Amino acid sequence: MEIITIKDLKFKYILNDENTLNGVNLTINEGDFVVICGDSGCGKSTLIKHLKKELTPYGTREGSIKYYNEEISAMDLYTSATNIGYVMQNPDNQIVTDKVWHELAFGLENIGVERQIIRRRVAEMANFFGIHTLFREESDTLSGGQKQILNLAATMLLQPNVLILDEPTSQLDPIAAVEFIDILKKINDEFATTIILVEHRLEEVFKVANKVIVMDQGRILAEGNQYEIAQKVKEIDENSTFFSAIPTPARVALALDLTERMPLTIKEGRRFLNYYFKQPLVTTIDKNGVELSNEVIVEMKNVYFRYVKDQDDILRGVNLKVYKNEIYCLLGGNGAGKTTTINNIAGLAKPYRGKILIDGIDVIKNKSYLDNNYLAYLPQNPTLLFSKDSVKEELESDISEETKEYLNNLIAEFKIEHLLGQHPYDLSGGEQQKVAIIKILLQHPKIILLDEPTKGLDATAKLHLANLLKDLTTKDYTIIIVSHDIEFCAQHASRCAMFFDGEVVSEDKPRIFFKDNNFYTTAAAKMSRSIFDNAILCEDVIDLCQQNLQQVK
Amino acid sequence: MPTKSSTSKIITALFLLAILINFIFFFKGNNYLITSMLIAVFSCLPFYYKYERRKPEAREIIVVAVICALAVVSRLLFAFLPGFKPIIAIIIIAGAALGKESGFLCGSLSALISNMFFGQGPWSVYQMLIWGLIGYCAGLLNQKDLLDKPVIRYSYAIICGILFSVLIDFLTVLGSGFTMAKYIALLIPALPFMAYYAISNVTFIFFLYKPFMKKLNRVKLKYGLVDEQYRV
Amino acid sequence: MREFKTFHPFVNLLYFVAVIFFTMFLTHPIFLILSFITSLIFLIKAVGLSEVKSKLLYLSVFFIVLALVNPLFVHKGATPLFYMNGNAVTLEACIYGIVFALMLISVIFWFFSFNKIMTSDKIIYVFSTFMPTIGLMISMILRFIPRFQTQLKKIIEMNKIGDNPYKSKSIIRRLGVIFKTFSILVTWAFENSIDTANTMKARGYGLKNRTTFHLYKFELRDIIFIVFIVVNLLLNIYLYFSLNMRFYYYPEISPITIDLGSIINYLSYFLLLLMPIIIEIKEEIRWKLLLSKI
Repeated sequence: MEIITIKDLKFKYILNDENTLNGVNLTINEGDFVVICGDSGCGKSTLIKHLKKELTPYGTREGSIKYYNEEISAMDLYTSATNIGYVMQNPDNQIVTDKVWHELAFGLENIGVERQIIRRRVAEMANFFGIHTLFREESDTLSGGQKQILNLAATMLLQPNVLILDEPTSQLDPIAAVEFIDILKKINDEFATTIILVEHRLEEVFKVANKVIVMDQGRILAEGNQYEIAQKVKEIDENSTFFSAIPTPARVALALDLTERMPLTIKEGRRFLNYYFKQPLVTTIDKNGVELSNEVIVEMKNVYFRYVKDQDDILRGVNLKVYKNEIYCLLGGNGAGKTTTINNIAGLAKPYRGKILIDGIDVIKNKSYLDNNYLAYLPQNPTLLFSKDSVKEELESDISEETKEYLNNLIAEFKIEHLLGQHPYDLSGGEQQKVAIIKILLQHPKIILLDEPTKGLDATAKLHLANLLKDLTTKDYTIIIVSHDIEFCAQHASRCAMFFDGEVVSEDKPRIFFKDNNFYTTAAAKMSRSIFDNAILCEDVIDLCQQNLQQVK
Repeated sequence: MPTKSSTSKIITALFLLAILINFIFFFKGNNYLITSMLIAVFSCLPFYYKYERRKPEAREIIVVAVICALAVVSRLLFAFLPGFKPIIAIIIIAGAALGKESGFLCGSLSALISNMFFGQGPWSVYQMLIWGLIGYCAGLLNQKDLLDKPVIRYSYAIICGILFSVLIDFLTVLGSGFTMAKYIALLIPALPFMAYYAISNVTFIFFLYKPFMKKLNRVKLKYGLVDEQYRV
Repeated sequence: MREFKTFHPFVNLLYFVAVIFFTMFLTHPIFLILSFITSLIFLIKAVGLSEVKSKLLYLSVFFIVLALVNPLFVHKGATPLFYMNGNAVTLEACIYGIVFALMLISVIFWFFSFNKIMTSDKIIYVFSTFMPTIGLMISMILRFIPRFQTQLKKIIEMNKIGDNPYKSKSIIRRLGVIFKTFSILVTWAFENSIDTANTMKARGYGLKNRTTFHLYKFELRDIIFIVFIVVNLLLNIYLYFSLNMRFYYYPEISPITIDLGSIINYLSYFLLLLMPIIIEIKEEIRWKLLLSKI
């Protein structure tokens, strides 16, 4: 039975000239697990906000959105709260109260449930989500993943029939993201809750959804199950960035036109390769990656660090070398000490043993060497840099006349003229990042440190970022990235390093680095391991497969 | 409805006054401290109660909560200059931007919570009332956009800087038997501090008033909080 | 004071209100000394000796100033000790100064203990019982504070890179960066709060008949404690007025009466003050016994 029916929905924001939604027609059935995807600005967020009356944006609207037989715009607050749950992107913003137990009870308090019943329901739900041990904790002490699970639990306590999620995993690290999707699957399976998920990281959700919707420019571009969608997206535009968001195994199969056994998971992908390429003739890719300069710009020699004297070491003898004009990626799990390493390089923390050389100069002894903005730091969340009310003011604050010309060049180069009048917080994540990078470049640094720069970015924005960074390396900048994003690093780094237990355990060019890793590696490498030698990117696998096919012919 | 709520306010006020007069006679005027403390507590309650009764919307209570949290956190940021704190300025701005009721809440809750972190004392009770009133009066003044005038704005900031010391000293003296000489003797050493607080308030109002107002107005716009009703 | 802390918040609150009220109301020196001693013991048990010691210095300065101000400016009293600028410094004014200072110090001690026992949860609970919205707001503020602190730390770290402006010798530069930091924090806080308001509405905030949830249980021992406080309170007030325990410092200090009635009054007051400490010691002994049986 249809739970949500959208007919001819058109919507225009008050301040915009064009429609954000251009006639959307959509039916969602009870118990569906729907994934909606598309590039930023395609209208997907606007669409799902229409499914929750309290979040419906202001503007002009045509068409109808029905929940069963009820117009959503006519729904009362109680029905809306108890039937439609909504989880947003940022885990922190959704936590209202100071204690986990209070947060869980909050929704039930609002709808006027009695204390004894709240107690029981909260207990049930805390157990289901495995957060019972956190029950009396302060909500701020939870990790990002736990916070998002708490938000989900708090929403589920109202026992909604439809659960809407707007990029819930975009701020989480990969492990927490997988965990979160698993819980969604469990909710869908066990409570038959209809789930509508907006997501741009498709690797994980693709295999759990039973319906995928692709949106573009306020319209539904394609709709169907995973297999159909993959096919349709390829037919529409094979080179679109959106196509690159489809899981690697499916992309390989599509590129080779071998779609009758379309693989979605790595397991299926391996089976697929084994089936078609049992004894491949060509197994290696002879691309070598970027040439490195000889000049070492940052060097850490046996660096030891801890925050408090009586505590354990965070860094236990870190050795690393960063060459001039390279993109150096530091990978590793949470709490391994990646950020601490960056802080040590930036002079924010001081090692108690070891040396840090920048341009061959010991910066622990000569701290003033870093004074003239030699190093710049782009935080995970670029808003950390913004204090003004427009992009223009933000960029023009405390700079001299000479830099102004440089600024204008950068603005033209980065193509952000149209953003200058806007408030920095009204920009998309990718745009905010661009502005932040310009702000940093104005200080003329030599080394740029980036913390998780791809977090929350969609495929297009990631590609923009990568091109931008590569461009910077040609202009004498050296870039050091701390990241969880394996695929991004594999594709764009000049070298990758794995950080574990307070030190760098391996460091190499991405092709060698990911080839040698068995588990902590890209989907393409996992899929083609022991079939091909050094395929680490989706393109590598496709390339090798095609070569083999030709050889056979 | 406005007539009814103001009647109820008057009734509450009279009722409180009756209790207090009783108290003063009952204790034969010898327990000013405890009486004044009770006055402070009981005067806060109608403000809270009225806010409570109005059933404020989510966005309203969020803005107040954010401002209070900012006020408390700002104490840490300016920790290196003792006494030089933006809290009063923030409360004035909150009252001016959000109206008198929210202004009172901002002031009063900032006092309560900042004392939860930095130590409660007998002063907490008075602080809750006075800071609340600072926010309330800012809202009152700004009903006719009076705080847009720099003269009034800065005079108000100065008064707010002096008020607390004047009152606390008065109460201390009152508690142990009031004499003007004693009061003045206590006030004179407090003068430099009062001047310091006044200067600090003026400085913060100078630097924070306009940008803060701008940011608050933007948020109000984003929330759809522009309706006149929220300024009453 | 682990055990007393586990009592129902209203019991904690009632105890402190009663004790602080009596400390300020009863200016009789015996009552004051009892209150002062108990407040000190209570505080040491609640926060530990070292923390009390760290506060001792400025509190003693406060004490001395308060005690000195009175005789210097109040010249009432029948027993002049000496003359200063033609004004008598009297014994009564001296004593009253000390008594008054002692009273304020005791009240401050009680407030310190109050702060330790009445945790934020309990304050939220007390507010929520009568004013749910205010209670919720306090809870929200307490949720925001650690979050803002973390964000503040991040912003400061960011700005520290290179020549650390927070430690600059130029006070202008230092203030400049602090204002900038604050401005970044304020913008961020307001912008992010919009989501929070939305999530509240999405979860049904604004409906009538809102209930309040809490984790406190009202047990028999709470009732007993409340009954004890109320009975004790009434008894003390009755004795105080019927025995006319009212104490005068001017013009002459009243004599301290010691007879059966007043001793009962002192003792019952002392018992009220000491009750949480007695409970505490009782629990400690019980635990020791329990452990020794194993």
